[in-house]
Amino acid sequence: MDSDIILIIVVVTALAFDFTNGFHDTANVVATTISTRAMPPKIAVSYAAILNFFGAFLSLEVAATIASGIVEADLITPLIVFGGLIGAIAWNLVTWYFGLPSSSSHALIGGVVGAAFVAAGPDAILGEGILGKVVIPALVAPILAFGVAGVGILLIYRIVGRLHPGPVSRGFRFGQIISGGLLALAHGTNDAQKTMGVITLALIASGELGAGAEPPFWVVVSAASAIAFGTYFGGWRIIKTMGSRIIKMDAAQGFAAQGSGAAVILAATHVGFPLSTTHTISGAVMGAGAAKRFSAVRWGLAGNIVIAWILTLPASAGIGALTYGVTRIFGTGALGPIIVSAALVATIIAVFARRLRQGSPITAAEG
Amino acid sequence: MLPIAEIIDVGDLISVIWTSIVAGLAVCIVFSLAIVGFARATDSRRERPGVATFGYFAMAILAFGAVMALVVFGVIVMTSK
Repeated sequence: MDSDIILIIVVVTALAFDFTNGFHDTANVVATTISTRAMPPKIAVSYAAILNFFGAFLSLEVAATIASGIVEADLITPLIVFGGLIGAIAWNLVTWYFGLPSSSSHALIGGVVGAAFVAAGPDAILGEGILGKVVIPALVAPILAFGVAGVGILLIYRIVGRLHPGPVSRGFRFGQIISGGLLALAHGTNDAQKTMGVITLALIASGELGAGAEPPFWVVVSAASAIAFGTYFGGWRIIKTMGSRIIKMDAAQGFAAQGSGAAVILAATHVGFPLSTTHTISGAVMGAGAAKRFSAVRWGLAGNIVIAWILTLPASAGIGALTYGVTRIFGTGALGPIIVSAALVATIIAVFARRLRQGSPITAAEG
Repeated sequence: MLPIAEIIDVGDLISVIWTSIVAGLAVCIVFSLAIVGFARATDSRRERPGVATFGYFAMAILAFGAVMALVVFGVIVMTSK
């Protein structure tokens, strides 16, 4: 009975993480589209939500589930997965609150690493995996996207520089609809997979599915729906940061950022190299801005974003570890996850209520 | 201190870097050429319709077709990973 309740809690928590993933990462896809007025805000997030939903069905290759090669797979239990998910959700909400784009995947990995560390000690953590799948890609993604978008926008200005600005802006706005759509599909494919992997892992660990089983159809549909709903609700604070606070973009810069970002993400996908969508797009936005005028980029804000990236792994690991520790105070049954879930929901309601009392500073209409 | 080759596949990393550069710059260049083609074709048709109009229009269509081909390739990459 307890294991059934834990399984249900893990599934619901995984879908909640998927929702925050869509909510948090909407900005990657739509921020520049909205800021250059290529699409109205609500249309842009609806478009991204639909493509995220369909993107989740494009590939069901979940062999490389979360934290594979980063923690000892044999040691993962539903309670460790639960701790990891809570760590990731909490960090996503913190960075959303401060309007900072950060990697949901790294948050999830950090959360699982922290929970596994408390559960099984340092031997459970594979340091090479963290370096190879988190640290090095986190360095490569933004630098590569920065460079490609920077050179890309200079070539664009060189090619279209003598044309009237009207048709050029209209053309690149149209291009942003295409490149933004490709990014949304890629995001749905990559990130909904992680939730499918988590739920499938929990179903296998609880004996509901056999080892190596494919995710059931209801898992695919629910993960696709959760990320699409999250995307539709849109994290407007991060959209504002990515779309206009780092730099005020023109349509050509928006296209260069999205097109280069999509190229980098798809090149990495093709080779099987794990790059973060958030790091890639953030780097591309800064590159497209800095190439036109270096001082146009708000480097102080860019520095805060980089600090958030550096903190993602240790912070979510800390929360994951704390969650696992608190959960185990109540034993290995369902009471611990129930209490932690209730505390998290109460905290989220309190934070949202506080924000509502303060008034939302960033809305879809402003976007 | 582990050598980087034991942590990641350096060949994959180099492949990602050059593919990203080629694909990213190709998208920017080809889409810009499509815009140039459409803009010049419109101007040319307004001023003196003729071979130049057709040439610019053909350039625009070819470039736009190349961009759409890259998009389709991107979707294939996603589905085949």
